[in-house]
Amino acid sequence: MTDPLLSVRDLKTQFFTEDGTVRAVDGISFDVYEGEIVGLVGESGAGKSVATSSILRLVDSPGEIVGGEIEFKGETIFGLEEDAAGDLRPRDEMLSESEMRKRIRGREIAIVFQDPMESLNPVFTVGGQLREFIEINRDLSEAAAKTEAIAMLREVGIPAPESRYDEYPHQFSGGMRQRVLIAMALACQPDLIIADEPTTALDVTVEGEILEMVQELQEKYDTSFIWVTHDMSVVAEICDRVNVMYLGEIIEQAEVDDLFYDTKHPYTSALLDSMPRPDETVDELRPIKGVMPEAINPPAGCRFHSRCPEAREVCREVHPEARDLSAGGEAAHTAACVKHDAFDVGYEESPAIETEATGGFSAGFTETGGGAE
Amino acid sequence: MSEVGPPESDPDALLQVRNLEKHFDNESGLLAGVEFTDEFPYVSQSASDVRAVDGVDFDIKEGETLGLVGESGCGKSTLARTVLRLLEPTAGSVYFQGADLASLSGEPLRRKRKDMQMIFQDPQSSLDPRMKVGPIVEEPMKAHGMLDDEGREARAKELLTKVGLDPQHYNRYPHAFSGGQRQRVNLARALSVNPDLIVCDEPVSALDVSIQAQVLNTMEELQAEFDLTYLFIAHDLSVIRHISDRVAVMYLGNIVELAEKEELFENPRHPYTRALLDAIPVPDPRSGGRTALLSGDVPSPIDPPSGCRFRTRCPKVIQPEAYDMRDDAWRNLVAFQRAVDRREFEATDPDVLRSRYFEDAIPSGDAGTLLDEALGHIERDEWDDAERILVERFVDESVCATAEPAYEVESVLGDDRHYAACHLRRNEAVASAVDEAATPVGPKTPEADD
Repeated sequence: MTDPLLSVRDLKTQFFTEDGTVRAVDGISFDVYEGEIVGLVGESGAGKSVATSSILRLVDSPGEIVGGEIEFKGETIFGLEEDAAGDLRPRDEMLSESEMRKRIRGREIAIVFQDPMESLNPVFTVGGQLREFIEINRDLSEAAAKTEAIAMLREVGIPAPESRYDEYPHQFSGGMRQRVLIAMALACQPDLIIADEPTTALDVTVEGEILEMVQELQEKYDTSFIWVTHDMSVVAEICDRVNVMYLGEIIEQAEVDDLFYDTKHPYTSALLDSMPRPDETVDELRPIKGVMPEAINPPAGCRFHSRCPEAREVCREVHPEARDLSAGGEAAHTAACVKHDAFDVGYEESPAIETEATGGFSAGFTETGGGAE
Repeated sequence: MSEVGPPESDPDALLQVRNLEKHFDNESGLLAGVEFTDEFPYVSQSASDVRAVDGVDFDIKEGETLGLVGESGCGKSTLARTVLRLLEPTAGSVYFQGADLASLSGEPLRRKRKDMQMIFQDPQSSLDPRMKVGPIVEEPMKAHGMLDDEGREARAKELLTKVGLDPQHYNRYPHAFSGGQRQRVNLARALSVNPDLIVCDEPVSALDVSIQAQVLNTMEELQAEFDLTYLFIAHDLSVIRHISDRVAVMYLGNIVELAEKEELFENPRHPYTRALLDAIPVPDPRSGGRTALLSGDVPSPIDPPSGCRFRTRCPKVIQPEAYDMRDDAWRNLVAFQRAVDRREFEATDPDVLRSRYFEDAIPSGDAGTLLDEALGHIERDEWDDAERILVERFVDESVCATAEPAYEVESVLGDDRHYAACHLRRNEAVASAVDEAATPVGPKTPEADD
């Protein structure tokens, strides 16, 4: 296989707050190859958005990327080394802030956010914003940029683009605004687009249209995507490979078909089981018990053990590192769960433990601000 | 209009909504709706109301869950608020336990409110951040003069337990709870006055899937325990399928289909319901994805399409009587008309357009002549003229545009009534109440177009 377009290794992003250090992203690694759509799934608070902002180095104080490597097309977006005194400092080949701003963001890696109203300026026309973006990033004249902007609007399915060019964001529906942002992201033909829950706020019908459009455009421009979502149905529909995140870690990583049909991590199975199905009537839903613990003070051992129906004593003690569990010759399928033989830490012999999942529902205070129970 | 649509006064019904309308003023202020013209008297008053809910009928039986589903902007939330008289209805009636809420006001209405409660979408903003959870739950009891201080506290604690929280949480503030837990507090508050009906406006759509399932399960348990009736609004059909007994599908202020859950999901008789069902993503990579998506946006409720409101996006618009086109030629023509309406293409050469939109079938005869005329206009860049021909001579002639559909068809699954507002059902309907519009089309020859 060729080199990955983007390669993230052991990325750690932490937020230093008064209450303690929030380890929002805690050592995740994944690759994105050319022309593929990679999913990043998880519940709210799993660290998905922090991970994507870290890739663009958009994490602001009190947050900081504290470790790991991010390589993009052979260039180092982030990398640390030890200096003579033993302190960590950025490596020399790491891109400077101005290089990131001028060359990478928008041109090479574009991002589409969840809320299109907040990404567009309400006091400028939609066309004007798109034109300005194209003008600056592609060094076109104003007139040429306008032509290009109208062409892009037509490309993403905005009706009557010439007349809508002069309208303001509030005159567009949510789906239309999201199309404008996708047009903006595609305008510089970047190699990678990060889509951070772009269809979550939209109706299913509109979501369907947009996903279909993204797939068409993706084939046409051969752009890679990182698709951040909490919706397994969206993952099933468009992703090639999927990373499942839980509490700052990637706990399972597989091709989309393997993830759904050969699920290796109990969290992924629980997530799939908890969804109501549109195509059949389910008598009772099986929710994941409890809530996600806080990232300030994650549970010892496996982070999911407090909610896991299959938790054993050993899960509380051993912190599983994700391992490749695929048989030889198959596509890689990694999971971080000690129940698999590959870990060999005595899961079988270990006694089952009482957790929220096994001991019935308890509304424990584990969320932000809950304080000590 | 007597034998079609939702059944007439059903003795079991807890809530009966009849021809309910809610219109909003589009503009406000001194000169609202005033238009200046060139002719005497130079000013005119124009009515440009937003017709958010426009003639809705349905019943909810005691102890059932009626799911109400539709895209954003179709009027679901306005309907819910109007049913509860949080908004003044423009017309129509809402009978709740026999009394017409639309005509009540003042103290009698306030007392009725005790029996109907609401849960909102955003669990964060529906709880006062400066009040502790206990007092929040007690507030409705206080407003309705139920119990004394200790009695209320005891009941609040009991309810907190019932909704799956800890009675110890009585003294905590809402910010200390997660989204799912806050929605449980909302449930406890709604339950505190022992209501008969709870209107739930997207209660789980702001929650993560795993939490969503927990809350849905709790809601079902509570329904069984307290004998509750739910009007459950959601845009997520998976959730609707899970929780509802009967389902109403809403489009642009109207209910277009209403049937038992299984019947509606397995045997939808309205193209809009079909389209919505096709659009739901299935969490299964082998399902092949979604098919046949709707195109275009929901039209404005200020000036909704005549006849069937879905006709501007409907994949199955019926061919006007005047023509005798092959079905695929008619479909191509409709697709072409929509493309012109959206100015979807730049090419103006008739041959290019013909091969792009009418490759497999092109209308012949009268229809063909009109199409040639429209293509000629496009070639000369006269888009509006082309559009006028396509709309006036074809689309507006269809029965879908001239008559409002209202049919009742036989249910395949279950024995409940099945209401479907689509002219495709005109030949199989067991009852109909089609309102022929001002311009009647000639005598109808029955034909199946399905």
